Amino acid sequence: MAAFLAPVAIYLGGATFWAGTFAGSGLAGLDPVAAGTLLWRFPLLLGFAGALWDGGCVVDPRPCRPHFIAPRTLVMAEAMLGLTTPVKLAFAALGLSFTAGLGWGRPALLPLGMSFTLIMVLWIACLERVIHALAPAGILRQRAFLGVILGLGGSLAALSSLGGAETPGWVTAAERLWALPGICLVRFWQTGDWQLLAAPLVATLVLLALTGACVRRELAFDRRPGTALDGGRIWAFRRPWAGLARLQFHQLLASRAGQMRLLMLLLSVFLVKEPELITVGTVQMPRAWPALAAGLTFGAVLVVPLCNLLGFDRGGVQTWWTAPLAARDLLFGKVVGCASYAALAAPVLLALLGKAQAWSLQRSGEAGLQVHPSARPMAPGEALALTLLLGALFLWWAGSGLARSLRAPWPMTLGNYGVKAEFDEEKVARVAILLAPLAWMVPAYGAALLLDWKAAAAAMAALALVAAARFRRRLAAATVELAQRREDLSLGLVSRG
Amino acid sequence: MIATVGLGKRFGVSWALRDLNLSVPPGAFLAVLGRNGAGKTTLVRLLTGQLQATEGTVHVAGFDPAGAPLELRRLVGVMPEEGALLEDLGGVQYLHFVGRLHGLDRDVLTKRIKELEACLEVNFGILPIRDYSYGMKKKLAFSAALLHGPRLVFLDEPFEGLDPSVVRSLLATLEQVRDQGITVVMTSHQLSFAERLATRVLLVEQGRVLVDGAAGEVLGPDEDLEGLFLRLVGRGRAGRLSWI
Repeated sequence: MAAFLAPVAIYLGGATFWAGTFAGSGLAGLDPVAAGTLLWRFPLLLGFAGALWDGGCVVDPRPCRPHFIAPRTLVMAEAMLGLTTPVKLAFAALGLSFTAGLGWGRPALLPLGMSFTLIMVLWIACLERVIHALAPAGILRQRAFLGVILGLGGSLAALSSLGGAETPGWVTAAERLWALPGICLVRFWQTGDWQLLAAPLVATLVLLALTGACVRRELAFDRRPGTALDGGRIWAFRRPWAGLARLQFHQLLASRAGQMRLLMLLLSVFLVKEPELITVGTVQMPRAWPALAAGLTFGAVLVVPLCNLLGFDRGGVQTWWTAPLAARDLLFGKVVGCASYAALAAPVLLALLGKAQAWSLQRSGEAGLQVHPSARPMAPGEALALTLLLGALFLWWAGSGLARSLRAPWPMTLGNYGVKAEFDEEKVARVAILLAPLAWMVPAYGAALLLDWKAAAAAMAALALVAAARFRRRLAAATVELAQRREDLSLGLVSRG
Repeated sequence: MIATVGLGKRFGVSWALRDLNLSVPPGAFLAVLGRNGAGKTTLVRLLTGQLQATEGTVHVAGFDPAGAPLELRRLVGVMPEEGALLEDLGGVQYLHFVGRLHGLDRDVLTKRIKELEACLEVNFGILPIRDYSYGMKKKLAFSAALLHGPRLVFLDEPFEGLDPSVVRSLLATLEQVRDQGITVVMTSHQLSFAERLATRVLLVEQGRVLVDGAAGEVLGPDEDLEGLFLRLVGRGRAGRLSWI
């Protein structure tokens, strides 16, 4: 996570510096409702992401238990160390660059920037603990619900606007009430009226009290027990690979990595809210479209590693070696489980894409603008070609991933099912596997589209067939290899910890 | 049922097991005894196909376990010492999952799981297995090994971490298993339990066999298994600490 956030923070640093300069010069003219809502929603989302990723207290009380360490000491340690997780460190870096920009524009605003960063980091740290305590690890539905209620409250307005309807008044009122601490904080910065600090102060105190209770409870082992996958439901399946697929699908859904990727899909709803036109070269096009395209690509890149990097259950690896389960069923089931997870995300992305394209065409037509080719609504033929391309990519990745995951096995954990957070040598190798087919398949798709959608569809169908044949060969080879490498796999999983 | 000739397993430069010639007839209850690190678990893993032999041959129920044929896996129930359970699943869910892999119907599984729960005095519930106590995990692994009615059972340290009440239930269950003619290979440090159950004893030390034979034949006059163990393996050091 740190390796992922660090480069992002560097690039975003420049942007936040610029935003700070802009805010410094135009603070008086900022819309307090819009800016305050954004200000409040931002830590909520980061807190939600942190709750999914970091998974509760940083301090592990278990090793301390036999040594009679006072609960107060543990809470103090947590209060200090809890601020050093990747999400908060990255945000603190961004906050400081924003502050620097603010000071660059108007040096008198430096204390304001520092207070902004401090309050936001505090809110993120508190929300992270509270959300984590409310939603025990592994319960996707509760977390998704919390995500909608907390961070994504504004998406109700976005969804209603996408549907063409006016945003209901109660949605707007609820959103403003919910974002009151942020709105009041912005108004305070603008006016200097100390009474406006009451709402953020109360919100901070409430959050601190809740956080203290949650941390004390977690460090005192008074935790709510977890729940088995899929609520402990008994799965009926006829073929062994189908059972494996179901297990893999639910493991991905329950993992933090899987939940983070679904959260990113929900976040993409924001990208289509209140779109504006931007100019690229001589062509104007909706801001939403490139943002959504970037989100789509980003989402795909993050979803696909799950399909590519098949992990193995370290805890139960011997179940696979002793149960009547053929090696082919084991591997095929894992691939099908990954494909099911990807298929769950695809309709959401496609629905957003369709809406954005329809809006793009309408807006461009009204304004008499030239429509960028990439913003045209996708014809059914083109959609078919794109689907075939994605299928080909998935099969290619799955084939490569099978071989890789057998030669360098990674244990699956509740945090990351087969996807390690650290950017080590192995991860680089896997990213290379991921990028290799993208490097030639996507240009091939683009080149074929320039000719004709039929040509593109035919080319992608051929590509998909080639990828399917390759996957079949790789599956057969991996089946043989798995039978030969059971011992290495077991030892590899154990030694990699 | 089990036959090995010159079986050996090497990890790096050290041999965990060497030159093992074993013949276990159908219906035998073989207790594999030895100190920690003697090679007991390695033997079970070799016999169940989890490890590949460095030298020698193994045949279990007429199959080479190294290839892990499905026919053999259907006949065999295995309770490994660790790493046996899918810890994100609930206990009942796991047993149904494993039972389905063996092709058992839901009704049959439900009935058998209830019987196992009653026998082992446990309620597996829907808590994830990772939240189970050590003893609960052992009971679940034992249940999974017997669920499909195997003809050959491998048990690696089945009594470890269990309370005396459950040990008593387990002993009774294993006696039933033995009396039904099911072949059992069990490793254990609990010599009194091994003595009560075993029809055959294999004592290994540093990867080599010290004793292999019928339980009644290997013991000396007025000697129990503990006496045999201590006589052949050694009584250990005084175990005194200078600062206590």
